[in-house]
Amino acid sequence: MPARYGMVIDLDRCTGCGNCTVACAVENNIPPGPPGVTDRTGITWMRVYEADNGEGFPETQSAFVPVMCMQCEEHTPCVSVCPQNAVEVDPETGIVGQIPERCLGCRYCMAACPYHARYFNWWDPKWPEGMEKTLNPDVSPRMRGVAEKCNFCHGRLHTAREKAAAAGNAAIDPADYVPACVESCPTQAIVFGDLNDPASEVAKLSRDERAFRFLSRLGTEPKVSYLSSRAWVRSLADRVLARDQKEEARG
Amino acid sequence: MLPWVYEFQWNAFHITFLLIFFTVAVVVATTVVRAIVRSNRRLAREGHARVSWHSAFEELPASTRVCRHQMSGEVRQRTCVNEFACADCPEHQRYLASGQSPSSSRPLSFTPAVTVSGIQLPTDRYYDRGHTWARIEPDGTFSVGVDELGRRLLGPVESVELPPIGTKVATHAPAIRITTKHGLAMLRSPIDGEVTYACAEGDRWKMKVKMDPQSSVAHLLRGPEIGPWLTRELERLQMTLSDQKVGFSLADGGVPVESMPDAAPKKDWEAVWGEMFLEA
Amino acid sequence: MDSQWIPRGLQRTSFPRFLAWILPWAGLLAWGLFGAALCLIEGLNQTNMDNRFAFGLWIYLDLTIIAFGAGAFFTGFLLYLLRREALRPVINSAVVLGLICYSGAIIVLMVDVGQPLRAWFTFWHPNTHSMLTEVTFCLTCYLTVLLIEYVPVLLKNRQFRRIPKMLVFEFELHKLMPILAGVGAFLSFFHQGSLGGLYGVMQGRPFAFREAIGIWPTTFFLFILSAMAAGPSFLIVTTRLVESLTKKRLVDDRALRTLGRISGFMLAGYLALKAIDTLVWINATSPGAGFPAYEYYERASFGTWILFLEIGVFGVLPALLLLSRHTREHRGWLLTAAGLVLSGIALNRFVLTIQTLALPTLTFDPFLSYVPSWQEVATFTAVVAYGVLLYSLSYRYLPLFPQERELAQS
Repeated sequence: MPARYGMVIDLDRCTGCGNCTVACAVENNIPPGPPGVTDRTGITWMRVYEADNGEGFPETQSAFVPVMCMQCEEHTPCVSVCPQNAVEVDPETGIVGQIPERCLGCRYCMAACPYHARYFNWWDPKWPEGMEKTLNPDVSPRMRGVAEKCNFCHGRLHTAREKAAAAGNAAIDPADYVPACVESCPTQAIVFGDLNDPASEVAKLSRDERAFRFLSRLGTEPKVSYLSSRAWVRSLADRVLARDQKEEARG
Repeated sequence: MLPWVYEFQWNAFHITFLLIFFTVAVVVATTVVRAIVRSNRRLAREGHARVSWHSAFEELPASTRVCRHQMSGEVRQRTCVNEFACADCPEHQRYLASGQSPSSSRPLSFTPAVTVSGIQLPTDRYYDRGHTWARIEPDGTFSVGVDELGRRLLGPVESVELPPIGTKVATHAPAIRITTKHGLAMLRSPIDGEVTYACAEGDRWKMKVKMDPQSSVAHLLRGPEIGPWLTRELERLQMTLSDQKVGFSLADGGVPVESMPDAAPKKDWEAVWGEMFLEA
Repeated sequence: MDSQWIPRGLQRTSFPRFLAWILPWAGLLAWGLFGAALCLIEGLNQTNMDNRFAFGLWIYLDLTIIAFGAGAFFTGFLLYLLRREALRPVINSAVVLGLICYSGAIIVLMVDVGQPLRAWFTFWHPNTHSMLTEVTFCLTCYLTVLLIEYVPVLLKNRQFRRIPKMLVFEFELHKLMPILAGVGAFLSFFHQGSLGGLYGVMQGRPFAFREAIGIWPTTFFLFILSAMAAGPSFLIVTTRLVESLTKKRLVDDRALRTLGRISGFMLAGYLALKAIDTLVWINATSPGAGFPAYEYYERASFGTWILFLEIGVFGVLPALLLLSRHTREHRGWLLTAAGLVLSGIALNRFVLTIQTLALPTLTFDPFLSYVPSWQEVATFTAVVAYGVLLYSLSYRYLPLFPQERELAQS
């Protein structure tokens, strides 16, 4: 049975430290931002948003929400819109892959993505003298003018497969394939694994009663779930829920 | 895009989409190729001259395409749609059959010339609407020339280029190139036939055409038709001249000068000639 | 100086005055090309677009001018296939305007994409499920058709007519126009539609997403109808504009009234369908996707007034003006109504492109705004200047308005 990789992020554990975003950028050869870059033009495959419950002090509560490509399973918005098949869902892994070599840079996929999880190379990628030593040899950098996004550290999947093949195994050892953000999270808020494996932690957590997915009513079946025991955090999932929550709070 | 190209999908949607695209591409390409082939064929069959008349006639404003039977007062309003080819115009045949039409008269040398605003046109010949005429000679050929209004429109001629002896000329095909210091004018041949005599020396020229036996002079104006036509032509000239905001116009009762271009050298005379000689 | 090139019998201004008109536009074109070159050489960081505002001024104006350029296919269709002879006086001008709009849009698109040299990939491995693929194929084909349709207009030039091959080719090509008009109408139908579909299929953007009819979202059909309303109105406005600039009458009122009536009919049909579509969207589609529709109109200055302006002032009002014989036959009202139609279509395209992207989807994400950079404005100015130049040259050297000579004499 093919794998269906997914993630569960515990928002009650996330402290918003941003370690995942740094680990992601280093792992995936994201070039340092050039002068003039902003949070809207930079490349942040993993991005931490801050949300609050809208109450004044002292009732204010905050939550940090790491958002990356949710690897939508149904009607994957970016796949169907790409005019030249530069985005594909790998049937073996369920990972939505971006193929920068085919990308025209039309940015239609970015407009179509409900999670704003796609990024465009507005600049030529450049590493200052000496910094090129930090480049990850397993991941190719992208050129200017193409779109890119989280691919669950695809380079690590390749490494795991090579290792399995060298050992004569057909399947990879799940312990060998862990995305950089998962690895780097100091509170272990992110759990990664195969959703098709009912025994995996990620599959169990995704069925937890604390689990929810953002914008699930769009019908795109994202493979990244979030966990929270706080009702107002779960109500962030979409606007109808948020409205109902607000009305409930007001009485 | 093509079955052996990576990412070609064998599903109905993909194939339908590409089939439609290729159909459109083929239709567009065929249309262009067809136009090229047909134009080459037509050029070979009819020659440029005839096509230039087909195309020029389409461009003529309705005021220029007025039917000869409207000018002679036989019908209140009629615009020609038949490229002035009266010989195969059923309407024209109907008027001829009535026996009363001025179009059925023959040119006579003893009737006096028609004079309108000082322009004199003899009635011994046939007139084409592009201001050339054809007169039958004792030897059965036709002399071809430019009429008085045309002569004054052109002014002093610098050189004339006639089709060489032995070549064919076609009705309404440009046949005579006239150069003056104001530009180049093309005159249309009034009849179909073979040039039997052509002689141009400086500004003087003479040309004779042996008319094709299957051809006719049915489309040429004659006798009582000349007066109304000439009046109309002078109006048309006035309109053409006043259209260009410069200079003179034919005041009522005035007489066109001997050489109009010299009287108003600043005008675009090629444009006026084009208008009056039915150039495209 | 260039009098040998000016169509015979037509009055055109002197060459120096023409130069004086052309030069400022040529200057704007040069400035715009400089801006576009910066975007091509330095990259799209020269624009103010960003990861959230992935589309900006360019896409908005592309959609707008393509809708305006619809006059070319629609007039061709009505004239050559439905034999509405009243439209013959504007057909040449419609073709030139269509060519300008479409080629301009494609030029801007080439600057807009990150890797323009890969544009052919779409043809080589098309994803036929993408609306953009449909747009790309149809736009390319239709631009080819427009170029071919422009050839006979171009060959009508006085000097070209003297070249036998060109004259005969023009004559024969002109006779095949109905085929090209048919192909053009077919292609335009699909790309005007798929431009609307572009947004309507975006499941992740409930502000733009619409229910599908068959394989196309409703915006597909709304765009076709609205383009058919905009095209004739654009012809009315441009013709009047050229008339007032040249102080001449170029087209008789009958042709423009016919255009106005057609535009009015199309607009009325469009509004009826749009009203139904909007109600379905507000009450079912959007809330079903987790987005209460009223929230869209609670952000920044994008209130519901924008919806009412589009449907009322820029919709119902011009439709009434164009459908009533009394106002349609009044030159001022006809022009006003046509101008309102164009404003409405432009506003519709603005709402669909800019407002869609400005609205956040995630609940904790803010509403964003965007102001184009000078390079973006310059690139678009280049296209406008290119359009003015091409139109001015065509007007001066080609017989664009077959009635001009007669109207000048009467």
